[in-house]
Amino acid sequence: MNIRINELIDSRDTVNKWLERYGVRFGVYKHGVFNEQLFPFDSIPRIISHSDWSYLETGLKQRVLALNKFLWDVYHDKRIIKDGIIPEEFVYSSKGYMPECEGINPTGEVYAHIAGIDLVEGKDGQWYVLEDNLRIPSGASYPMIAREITRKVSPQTFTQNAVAENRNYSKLLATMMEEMNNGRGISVILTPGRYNSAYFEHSYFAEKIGATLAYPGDLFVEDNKVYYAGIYKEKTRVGCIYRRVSDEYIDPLIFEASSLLGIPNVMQAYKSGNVALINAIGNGVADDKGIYYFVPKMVEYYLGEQPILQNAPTYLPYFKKDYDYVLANIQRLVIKDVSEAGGYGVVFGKDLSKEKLDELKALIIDQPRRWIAQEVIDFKGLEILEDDKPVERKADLRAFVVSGKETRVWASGLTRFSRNPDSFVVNSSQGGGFKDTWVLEE
Amino acid sequence: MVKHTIISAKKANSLYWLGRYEERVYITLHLLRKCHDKMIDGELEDYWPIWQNLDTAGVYQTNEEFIFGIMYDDINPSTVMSAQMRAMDNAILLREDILSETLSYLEMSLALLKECRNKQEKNVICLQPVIDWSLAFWGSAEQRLKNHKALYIMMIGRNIENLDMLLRFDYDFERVALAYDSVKHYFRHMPSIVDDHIEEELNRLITRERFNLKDVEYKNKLLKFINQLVRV
Repeated sequence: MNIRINELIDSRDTVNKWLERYGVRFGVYKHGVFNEQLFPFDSIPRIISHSDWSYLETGLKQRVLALNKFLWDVYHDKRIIKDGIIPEEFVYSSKGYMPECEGINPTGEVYAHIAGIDLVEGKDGQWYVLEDNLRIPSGASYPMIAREITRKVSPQTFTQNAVAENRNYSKLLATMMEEMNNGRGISVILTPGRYNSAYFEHSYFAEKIGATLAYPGDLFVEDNKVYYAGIYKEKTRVGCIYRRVSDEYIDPLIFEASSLLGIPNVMQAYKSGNVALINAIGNGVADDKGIYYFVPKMVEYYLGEQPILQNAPTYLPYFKKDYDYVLANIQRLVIKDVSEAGGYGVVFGKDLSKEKLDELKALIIDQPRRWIAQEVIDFKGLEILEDDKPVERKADLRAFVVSGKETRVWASGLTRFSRNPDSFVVNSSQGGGFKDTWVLEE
Repeated sequence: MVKHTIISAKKANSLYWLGRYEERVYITLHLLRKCHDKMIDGELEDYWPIWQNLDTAGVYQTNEEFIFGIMYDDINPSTVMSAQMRAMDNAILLREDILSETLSYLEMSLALLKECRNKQEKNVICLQPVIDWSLAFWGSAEQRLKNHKALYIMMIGRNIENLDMLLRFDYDFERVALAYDSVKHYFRHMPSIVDDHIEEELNRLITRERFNLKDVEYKNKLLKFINQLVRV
C-alpha cells in the first residue's frame, strides 16, 4: 500500500474542474425552486482492505439474496408471516407494500436488481448496515466518473496502488439488463426528466451502458407489449426498463392517476411477463425502516444461515419491551420516521430540548408503528480536506449489489461524508460531499 | 448492448434546436467581433445595422452596454449567453447520443461565460475559447455520434440557423444559395423531416432572378419559410 497522499491532495481542484467539465451535478429543490449544484468531491479515497471487502462482499450477497426471497414470499406464499417471523401489520401497513403486485412473477424471480445498502464502520472496525435501498438507489455514477477523472489527473497513484476497477459498474448493469430483457427488445432507462435530482446519473448510465434514455411520453403499451415511439410513429419493442420513476407514478391507470411520468398499462405488460422492470414494483415493503429490523431474521429464515452483516442495534416501539426502552432512553437514541427518506425524519435525542423530547414521545405513544429507534453508533470518521487541511468527518458507504442471473457486488461504492463537524447526516441533499471508494486487490 | 436508431419526437426536437442554438452562439460571436472592430474608431452608421439585425437596437443605450449585454445578458434571447444556455438545455438531454466528451465543450463554454460575466470582462477576446470550443463541439459530434440520423438532424438545425442569419444580415445571393444547398444536402438523408410544400416555395424564391433582400416582403417571406421548413 503506497498512497501518494500529497498528489491526491494537490489534484483536488483539478478533479473538481473536470467534474464541472463533465456536468457532474445533482439537483435540489428548495422552497419549490430547482437548483443544480456540483457534488463536492474530496480526493482522499476511502480505502477498504481486501480482507474487509471479502467479508462485506459475502455479507452483502447474503443480505440481498434474503431480501429478494422475502419480496417473492410477500407477494406470493407469505410463509414468513404465517410462520410468525414478521407480524403482518408490518408488511401490510408499509407504504411500500403494493397489493397490485400480488402474484406477479418478475423475470428470474428477482425483485431487487440494484440494491444500495448503506453501511458504516464503527470505531471498533465492525461494519453495520444502516439502511437497505431497494427501490431506486442512486449514487453509483459519482465514484465511477470520479475514478475516470482521478486516473487521468494522477495516474501514478494508480500505478502504485492495486485498486479494484470500478468503472465496470456499467458492465454489471448492462449484463443484468440483458439477462432480464431475455432478447425481448431494446433496454431503456426511464427518467422523469432533467429536473429530477439524479438526472445526471440517468443520462450518464444511458451513455455508459449503451441504453436508450426514455422520457415520459416516449414509451407506450400496445397489445400488452411496451414500445419506444419514433418521431414518425415507428415503434421498437422494449424488453427491459430500468425505471428511475417511483412506484406510485409508473402507471397512471393503476397507481397515481394524475401521473404524467409513467406509462399507461405498463403494469399489465409487466404482469404478462412481456417486459422486465428494474427494480420491480413493490420493493418498498422490504426497505421500509420498520422491516429493516427483521432482515437478520430473514437471513436465518430463508437461507438457514447466520447473518454475516449486523444491523445497528434497533428498537421497534411496536413491541412492548422496546416501547418502554425507547421512551426511557429517548435522549440518547436516534429516532427515525419510517415514512421519510433522504436523511429527512431523522432526529437525535441528544439534540432535542425537553419540550421537543416530550412532543416526540407523544408522537411515538400515538403511533408506535411509525417509528424506529437506534443506538447512536460512534462510527469512524474519515479524513477530508477542509481549507487544504485534513480534518475528520463522519462518513457512510453505499454499497451496490446487482442481481440478474447471479448476484454481484460492485467492488467500490459511494462514500458520502458530512461537511459539518457535528453532524452524522451525510446525504447530498443535506450538503454532504463524496469520495471515491477504493477496494484493494491484495 | 445494441443501440437502436429510432429517434423520438422529443429527441429530434432537442437535436434540431441544439444545432440551431450552437450555431447562433458561433455566428453571434463572429458578428460581435466585427461590430467591436467597427466600434473602436468607426461611426454609428458603421455598426448600427448589426445592432438592428441582432434585435438589440433600443435595448442597449451605449456601446459599452451593448457589448456587455450582447455577451452576457441571459434575458435577451439575441445574446451569446442566452443562445449558449439554450444550446445547453437541449444538449443535456442528449448525453447518451452525443457523449460526455462532446457535451463537455458546451459545459466549459457556459462556465467561461458565467466566469467572465462575474469578472465584468468587457473585451470580446475573453470569449475566444467559446468559439474554439464550439468548433471542437462540432468536430466531436461528427466523430462520436454513431446514430447518423441524429447527426443529420443536428446539422440541419445548424445550417438552417446559418441560413436564417445570412438572410437577416443581407448577405449576397451566392452565400445564401450555398447555405441553402447545404440544408438540402442534409435533407436528402432525412426527407421525412422536410415540409415538401415549403421546400417547393423556397426553391422558387431562392433564385438569382428573384433574389432581392431589399424587398422587405420577399425577405420576410423567406425568413418565415426557412423557419417552418423542418417538422420536428
